[in-house]
This record gives sequence, C-alpha cells and structure tokens, in this order.
Amino acid sequence: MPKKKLAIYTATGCPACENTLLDINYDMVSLTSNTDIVFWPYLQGSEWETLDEYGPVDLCILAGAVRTEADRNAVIRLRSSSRLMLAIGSCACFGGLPALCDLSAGMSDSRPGDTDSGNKYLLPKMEPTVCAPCQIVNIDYFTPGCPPTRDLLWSAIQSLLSLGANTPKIAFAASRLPQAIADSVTAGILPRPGSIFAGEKAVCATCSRTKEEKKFDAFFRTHQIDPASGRCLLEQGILCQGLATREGCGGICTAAGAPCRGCFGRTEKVFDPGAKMVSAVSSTFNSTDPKELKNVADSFVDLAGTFYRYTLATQCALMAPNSEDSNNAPDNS
Amino acid sequence: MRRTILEPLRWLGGFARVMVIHEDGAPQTLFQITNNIHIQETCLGRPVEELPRILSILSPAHHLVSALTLDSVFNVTPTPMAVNIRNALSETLFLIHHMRKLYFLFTSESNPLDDFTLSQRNTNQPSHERELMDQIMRHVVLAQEASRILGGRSDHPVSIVPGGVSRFLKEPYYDRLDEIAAKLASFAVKIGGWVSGNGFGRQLQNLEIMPINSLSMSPHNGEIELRDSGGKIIDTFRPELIFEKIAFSVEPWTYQPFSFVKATGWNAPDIDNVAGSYFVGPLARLRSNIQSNTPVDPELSVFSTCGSTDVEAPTISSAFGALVAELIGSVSRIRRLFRRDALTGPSIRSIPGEMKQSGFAAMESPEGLIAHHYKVDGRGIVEEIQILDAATQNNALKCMIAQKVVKESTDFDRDPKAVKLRIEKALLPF
Repeated sequence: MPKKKLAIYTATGCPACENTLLDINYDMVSLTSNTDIVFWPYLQGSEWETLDEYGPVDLCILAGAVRTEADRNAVIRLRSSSRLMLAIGSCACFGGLPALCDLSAGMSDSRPGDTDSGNKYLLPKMEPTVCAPCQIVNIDYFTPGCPPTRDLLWSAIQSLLSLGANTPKIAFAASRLPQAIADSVTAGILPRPGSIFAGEKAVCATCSRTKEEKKFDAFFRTHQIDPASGRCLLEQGILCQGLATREGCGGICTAAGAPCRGCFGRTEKVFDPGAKMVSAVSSTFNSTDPKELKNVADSFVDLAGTFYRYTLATQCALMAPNSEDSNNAPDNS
Repeated sequence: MRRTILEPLRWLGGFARVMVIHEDGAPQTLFQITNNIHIQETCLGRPVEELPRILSILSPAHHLVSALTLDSVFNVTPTPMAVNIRNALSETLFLIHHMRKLYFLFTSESNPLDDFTLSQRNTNQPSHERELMDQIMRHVVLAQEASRILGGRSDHPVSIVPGGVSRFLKEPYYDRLDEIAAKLASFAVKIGGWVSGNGFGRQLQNLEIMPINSLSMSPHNGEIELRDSGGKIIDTFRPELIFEKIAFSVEPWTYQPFSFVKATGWNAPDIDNVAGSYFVGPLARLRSNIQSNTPVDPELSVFSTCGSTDVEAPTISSAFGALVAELIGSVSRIRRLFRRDALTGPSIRSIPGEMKQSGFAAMESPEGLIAHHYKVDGRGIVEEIQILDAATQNNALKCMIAQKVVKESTDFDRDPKAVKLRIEKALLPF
C-alpha cells in the first residue's frame, strides 16, 4: 500500500498549533510507517515547489487565519493540492483572535505592503479584513481550540490518515471522538464533510464546577472577585462562555479558575454565540427592577470582543458574510 | 534588478524570508517578515483585565508580563505564593523555549519526522545526537506538564491574574512538580555535559556576531542596562523609562518594526554601521551577568566550552551556549521553586481596590526583555497600548546576521539552499 502524504501549513497566527503538533512528536513519528510528511515549512523549510513535485497530498493540516493576500493564495493552492483539508485551531476554524483587530476604529500601523516600496520588495498586501480559510475555500474538517488539545488533534489526524488501514489505531482514535464521527471512522468511511473533531455539547457539560442555580445578583469582571473554587463561574457573576461553546477541551480554563472565552466556537444548537450569551445572561439575572437591570447592562463592557473573542470573522451574525458568500464555516446543521 | 529569495526560513513564528537584491553595486540583503497580526489594534477597546489572555498569542511570557502590568494598573501587590507560582511558570517557559531551540538545532539537517526526501540524504547523523534529540522532546513534554499545572494551559496560559493567580494547586501536583524538577535537573546536566564534550561544531559554522549593543534587565536591582559589545555599561535606567529610551522604525520592506536606542538614532541594519541597534535575549543576559561577575559557575563553564567567555567577540555557537547556560540556571531555580513550601500559602491573590489610568511592567522572557504599557479609560477599557517584544528588538540583529552570512558565502549563486540553512541556524538562538 503506498504511503499517504501529509502537508502542514500555518497562515497568519502564532506557532501554538504547530507546537502542539511537535508536542505529539512521538505520535507523529509513528505516523511515518504509513505517511510521509512532504510539506511543512515551519519544521522542514519546505518550498511550494515541493507540493507540485509530490502531487496531491492526502491530507493538509491548516492552521492560521487569512490576513494577507499571501495567506489567501496559500490557502487556495493548498486546497487544490489536497484531497482532504483539516483546519486546526481557532484561527483556521473561525478567524480567531487576529480578527479582533477588525473591531478597531483605525489601523495605526503603517502597511508597507500597500505602498510602491512594498511592491518593490514583494511584500504581500493586507486583506481588508481577517477571515477564516473556510470563507475562501472548502474545508473538509475542523479541530478547534486555541490551541487544539493534543488528544483531539491526534485523534483527528489518525482518523483521517489511518482510515480503513489500521484497526487498533482507529479504535483508539474513535474512543476520543464524538459518536457520529467515531461511527464513520470505525466503519471505514470518512466522517460527514464539515464535521468538527470536538465534543457535541457545551463546555458546561464537561466543566468540573458545580452548577446550582443560574441566577446571580451582580456582574463582576474577572479582576474584581476571587471566585469560589468548585462553583460555576457564571453563577458567581463572571461572564463565562461555557454554555455557548462547544466542548472538547475538558473545561481546562474553568478548571484553572479562568472563564471560558469560546475558543472551540459555538455548539450545535447555537446560531450566534454572542446572542446566546446575551440571552442567557439576561434571563438569569436575579432582578426585575428596570433601574437595576439598566445598571447591570451598562456594566457589561466590550461584548463583541468578549463573546466573539475567537469567532468574530465567522460566527457573529452581524459581522460575518452571508452564508451564500462564505464557503463552509464549521457546519452545525 | 534581480532578486534572490530564500524562503521559507524555518522555526520562526510568522513568515520570514531573506531577499537579496542585485542592482548596481553591492547586493542588498533584507530579512523580511511578511505578515502582521496587528496585535496592538487587537487590544484596543478590550477590557484591560482580558489582555493577559489575548497577548499570550505573542508568547506565553507575554501572559506573565501582561499580568504584571495589570498589577501596576490596579495598584495591587501579588501574594508571596502567587509570586512563586509566577516565577515557577516563568522558569518553566525558559526550559520549554530553550529546549525547543536545541531540538531545532539538532534536527536542522536530519528531519525528526523522517521526511523521506531528507532522511535518504542524511544517514550520517550520529546515534547519540539522535538520542539526545529524542530525549529533548521527552523533557519538553515534562516541562509542558509543569507549565499546565502552574499556568492552566501550556502554550496560552490563563491562570496569572492581577494580584496573583487564579487557583491553588491541587494536592497531587506538589509531588508531581517535585518529580518533574528532579528529572529536568538530571537532563540539564546531561545536556550540559554533552555540549561541554562536543560543542556545537558539527551543527554550526563559526560565524562571529557583529559588535552590537545589548539590553537586559539586571537581576540585582531590576534596572535596565544598555551595554556595548564589550559588556561595558552605556546607560542604566528604570524599566518605566524604556519607552522613552527606545524608539521604533518601520522600513518599507518588512512588516516587523525595528526598535533602536533613541539617543543614538536609527540606522537601517548594516553590518558596517551598527549604531543605534541592539539585541536582547540569553546572550545579552549572559553578557550582563559575566560583566557583573555573577554567573553561576556551571552556567559559565558550559558557556565557555561553546565559544569563549570573551563576550566581546561572541559567535553563533556562543549564543547557543548561552541557551544551555540558562537552561542549567533555570533547572537549579525550579528545584527551589517546585517545592510544596514555596507553592502553598494562605492566599492566591489580592483583590484590587482601585484602578489607575495606566500601568507598566517589564521582565526578562525566554526570548529576551519584554515590556507592556497600557492606558485605560475610567471603565478600564484599553485606550492606548505599547508592546515591546523580543522579535522587534532582535529584528536589526537578525537582518545583519543574514547580511553577514550572505556576504561570507562564496557559494551563494551555486548553492542558495546551503546558504539558507546557515542563515536559519544563525538566527535560531535569537
């Protein structure tokens, strides 16, 4: 059986996703029995010609958001050279943190790429706004997270590269995957296009904190109180986005005493994570006094930057392009 | 005009390449960063207490310095236990960062993931190097486990908050941290011994670094020291003044700005005129420590075998030696910090009672000196932000190193890939 071919690439973002791949170094080395990593600029210094040389790859792992025209071209080229594409990390799945700069009134940084001098030096031009690769090309699968957890990432890679070839590996990967995806890969077929290699419910389902009654009397910012350990952060008045966010991380932030900020994107049943949070918070505040409610509403700051911290480009109904214009943002339908 | 482009350069966060422009006269060599995440714009309008999580996208150490800046904004003193947890996390980040750099160096000519195109050509890597490389990644994983315990997450930590940290450590973690510290300590000794015995000769050409100033924070009094290439102090000042002493320049050929010493003025990167430029990082810190006669002995002995103790003429090999020296220093400190008595206490954080209009903090990160300055409105929303990161401060040095490698390469036209490899390795320790 010929070896499969794997490409790994990061557009604009940080190195955390690629470092996560390095962290599963031993697992990745074990892949080499049936897979060759033929293109990985960060680690191998691979040139674009390498992709042409080895023909279409079986799987391309793509991290990072689209910030420059070079990112856009790279995403298009990788798509045309790959049979399957797996977006990893919040930037590649939803646009991620870099998209928050689009909330800024004015970009103060000079943009050398837009000048004549920049053209002389072949600097790529900046895109008007940051977008996710799925808004440019069709992405087959998604593994969200900032960065994705090693278990999920490894399960996704194994599922897509060992499909129908190695039963123990598939069984191991399937044990960590959502049921629908696990059913597909154990049956030897690919999961449904658009599938997300993460949990199906909300972070609250896996958060270790105790939920009692979702009612609170006051809203606090994270620096204002020392929340009780073990008790739901939202119930203590801290904006935690766990109820609108897809699980899969295991609640690592809330376990560390930090509220969820939604790096896994919205859950199956949520249309817009910000709207969901506003609705949830409004319905759980323990007051009916209009004056008191207004004070609380006024105390919420930067809702867009908080509720769409990682998803502004794709999941904010007011900011994201119409669904007809975008290719295939992670599919919840 | 003819351009030769060497890309992509490995191991750098962000896209980097070297462009050599051949026009009339001497060729012009440029180290280019070809994208920009506009991090300052990303932070404007955000609640200031959210910045430690947002800015960790730059590197995990920016999470720490951002929390320190919030201590200043909220005028709050972290509890002693929280200070120890922060310091322990910081040391762990040094270990992860430095070990990864060594991993990259040792795998620079033989792909660790057995890329078949390279592995067929590289059958001459000694097995002990291969084993060391393997061991490095195993210990990176251990150090990451420690950083997850201390910071909640490894690559993007979440647990450092204004006034302290967000949680107590759980009971089983104390023994685990102790175990990890012991394992890392023995491994650091092994790396030190290996480097002392073998140096980096096989991996590195003996490229001398140009005589350039350096900036670091004194471990004794916390002041910032600007030193010349001989280690002599040119200027010392309080960290709060750093954005008055340092200025930035944007060149038309790269998205990465350059920082320079304001008093000297900016001069585009040129190996024949380094005035105004400076660098930060392990070699800068070691230069400072050696001149202050305060190096820890094992650190110095390792450094001395990697080049020389003469910091006036350091080589790329010396810069890697500085990484190993710091690695040894870090493990000796985590052995003290990863102890139950250091990581326990009655309180994890102090709750801020007031908010100032601005805040500042600086610290030494694995990559080098970093600093943040925030201005906020009455609701604590970020109105202005200044960020000094290591990539900006080392940008001029990296550009000059690329220039020097290209200039000294007689095989540039014949074998540009070999030149690219030399540049990658020369940039790696910075």
